[in-house]
Amino acid sequence: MESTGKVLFVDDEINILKSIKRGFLHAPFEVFTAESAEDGLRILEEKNIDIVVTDYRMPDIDGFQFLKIVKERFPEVNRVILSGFIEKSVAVESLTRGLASTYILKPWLNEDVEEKINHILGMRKVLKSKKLLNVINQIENLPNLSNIYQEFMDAVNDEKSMDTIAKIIQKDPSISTKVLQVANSAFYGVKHCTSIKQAAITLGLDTLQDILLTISIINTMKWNTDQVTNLQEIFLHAFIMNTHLPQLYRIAPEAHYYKNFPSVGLTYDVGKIILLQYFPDRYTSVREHLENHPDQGFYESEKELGFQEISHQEIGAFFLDYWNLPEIFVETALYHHIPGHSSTQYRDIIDLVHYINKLIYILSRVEDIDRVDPTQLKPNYLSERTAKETIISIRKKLRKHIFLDMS
Amino acid sequence: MSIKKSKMDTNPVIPLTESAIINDNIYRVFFQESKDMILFSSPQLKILDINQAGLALLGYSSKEEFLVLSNLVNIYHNPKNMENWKQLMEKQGYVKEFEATIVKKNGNLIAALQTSCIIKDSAGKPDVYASVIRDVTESMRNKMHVHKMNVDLIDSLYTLRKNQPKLIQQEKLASIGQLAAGIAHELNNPIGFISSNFTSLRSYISIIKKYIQYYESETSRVINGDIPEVKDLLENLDKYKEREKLDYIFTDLDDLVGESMEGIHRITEIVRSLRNFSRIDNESEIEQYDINEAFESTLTVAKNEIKYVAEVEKEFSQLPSAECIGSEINQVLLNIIVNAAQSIKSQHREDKGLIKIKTYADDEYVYCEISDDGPGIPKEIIGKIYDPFFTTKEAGKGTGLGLSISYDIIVHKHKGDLSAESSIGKGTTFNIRIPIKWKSQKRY
Repeated sequence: MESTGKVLFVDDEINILKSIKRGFLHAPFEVFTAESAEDGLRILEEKNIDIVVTDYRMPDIDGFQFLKIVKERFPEVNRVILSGFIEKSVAVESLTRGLASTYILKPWLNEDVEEKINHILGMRKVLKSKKLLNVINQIENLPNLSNIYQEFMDAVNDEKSMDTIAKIIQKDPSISTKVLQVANSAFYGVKHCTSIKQAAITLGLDTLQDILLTISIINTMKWNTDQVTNLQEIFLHAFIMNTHLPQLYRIAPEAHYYKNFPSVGLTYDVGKIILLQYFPDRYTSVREHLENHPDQGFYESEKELGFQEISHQEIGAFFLDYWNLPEIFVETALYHHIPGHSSTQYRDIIDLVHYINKLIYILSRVEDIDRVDPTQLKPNYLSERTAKETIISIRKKLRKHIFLDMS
Repeated sequence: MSIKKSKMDTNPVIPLTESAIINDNIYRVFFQESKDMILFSSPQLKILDINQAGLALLGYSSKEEFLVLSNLVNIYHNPKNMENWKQLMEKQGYVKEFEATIVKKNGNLIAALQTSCIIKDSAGKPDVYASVIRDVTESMRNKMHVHKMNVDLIDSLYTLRKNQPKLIQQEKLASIGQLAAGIAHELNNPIGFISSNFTSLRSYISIIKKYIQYYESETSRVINGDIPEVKDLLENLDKYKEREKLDYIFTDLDDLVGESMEGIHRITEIVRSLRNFSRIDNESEIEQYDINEAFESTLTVAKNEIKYVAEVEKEFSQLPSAECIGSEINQVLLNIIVNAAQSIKSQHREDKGLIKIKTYADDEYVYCEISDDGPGIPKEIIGKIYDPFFTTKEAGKGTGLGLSISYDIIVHKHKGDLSAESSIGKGTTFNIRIPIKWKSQKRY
């Protein structure tokens, strides 16, 4: 049987490593083990490792430092924490800083770990598939996400002052102008934000982060005026998603993750932006197909036109991964039309994205709002009242505009 | 008057030098010039004489004015006070530093120390009571001040002592939590590899079994063969198999591994509950907390208190997560559940009691009901159950702080509500209400 990938386990306790070797003796992936971070780095040099699974508490170089080094020297390698002792803040920080894609608590169940590893390997297989790369390779220069977003996130994580945070954005005049444009647009209902600092104070850092991420993505590409209407629509939907996702997710039982990733609703449809920019013909053909089939969605139309293998899901996920955004962004983009394929840990978020996306889509096409049945599609834990309120609120927001001047 | 005969002089007489011949005149001058008040009275307390210092102290301008008072009782603030002095004089013949309160002419009071002796006549009969009276008002005032400060000190010491157990209790709970979580963390690694190893062992065993089955089915075909050596060998193998009870071992192996796995699973659950309960991963932080989950881990931690005493009936509704401090909510739930179990236990009943836990929510709050069918709380004391140090348990068994701390946590910190209903002989129900959104201004 061909191995599906190479997984390196790092732990200072040999008994753990031996038990892992035994446990995954018949697993589809190959297992490597290292008793220290140094050993681990040596193996990473020699073998073509896909995933590193590391303990957190280790002598000399601890898990956090180790992951930092791995991220820097081997950015392609997916990183997972497997530890008994981990404070929530550290775990969350590792996830938000993109140091780890997930963490597993000890004691672990072999089948859980195997499922997670298989899932990660599966996603990597999709994102590195020949078919996807063939599509991506048609893009001459891959758009690179500005460092400003990561710098901003780091500063927020380090609880730097508002001034320091504002200065990071102001470094790029083009980005800071556009951030202010969006901050002042009707969607947020705030007017006359004249400085980034003021925007941060009136809108809050979370919202500023959202706007910054959006602008950073738009700014990776050049836009002409006839694309702007479509672009504005995509982003209006993204902002609506990002407003309602946390509201509804808060009601979900065992809502753990979202709080730490406030921008995750913004990027689920980033694949459409890529299509619009680099594959305008394909984008237009899907739109035309949509016009003729009002009962269909974007993804269904893509499928009918034969793009199902490399849809806007895969393309979006590829770039989010390429831009080093945390795993949850990549997964949400990759599975938002097929939430059943997502990993258990993010399943509830992706289910909600799927639901809200459907609502946005229906509400932007149906004239009579009463024709939308609030009991349909909704997750069980949402009350009919909440669903109804969400529908009304989305409808209202769909009439607003996000102002983007592309000149 | 003949002072030389004084009986008070029990000390050895100091020999006087010739140059200092003492005559009556010297005593008179000393009486007049002394800066302490000196006063003579008859044993019947008629005032006979007073010196200048005395007049000055009491505020009289002349001896005549003073002598009008005529009886000693008039200079005492309290006749009882004088009576005591008189009795002492008669009983022991002298008084040393008697605390007297003397009235001045203007009515002000003086705190004084009165030292008195009896001067007898030649027949040995008490003739004159002589007193030296010293004004100690100032020093008394200082003393009173010191005394008041002492009282204040004792007061604050008392308050400190009163609160100390509460603080210690909170501290204790916190450190127990930390200790528990520390142990839980230490256990994670060994439990991790043991459980992983057992999973592997089970799969190894099934592979070995399959191999042996395959081996046996292949060799059974040979048994009917003719080669005597092979036949012997196979028979020996069968005998060996029988002697070592391999058939039993093979059937038992699955049970053995299964039971061990179950044990490991239970340890894992306990460790997980300890970790959840102590919330060490998330200490004192406001978090999105699932109250049903909180009950589950609290019940695991309290299992030992409950399991022989009561059955637990859970009626959990689906709940939104509430913004609260998980470790503190757990403390409250543990308190109330353990109280319920202990009240049932105190009845020494034949059957097991019942603890019912119900949860539900509306848009604003998560509600919990914890009821027991224990003895109930008498009406007279139900109002006191949240008072610090109030306990119905025997001395040394309860601190009387559990519910008071719980009340503080739910009502003051979380802006929720905690109330109890009880009827004697039927049991008690505690109702907890926790806001879904954090309400307090304070971020702890």
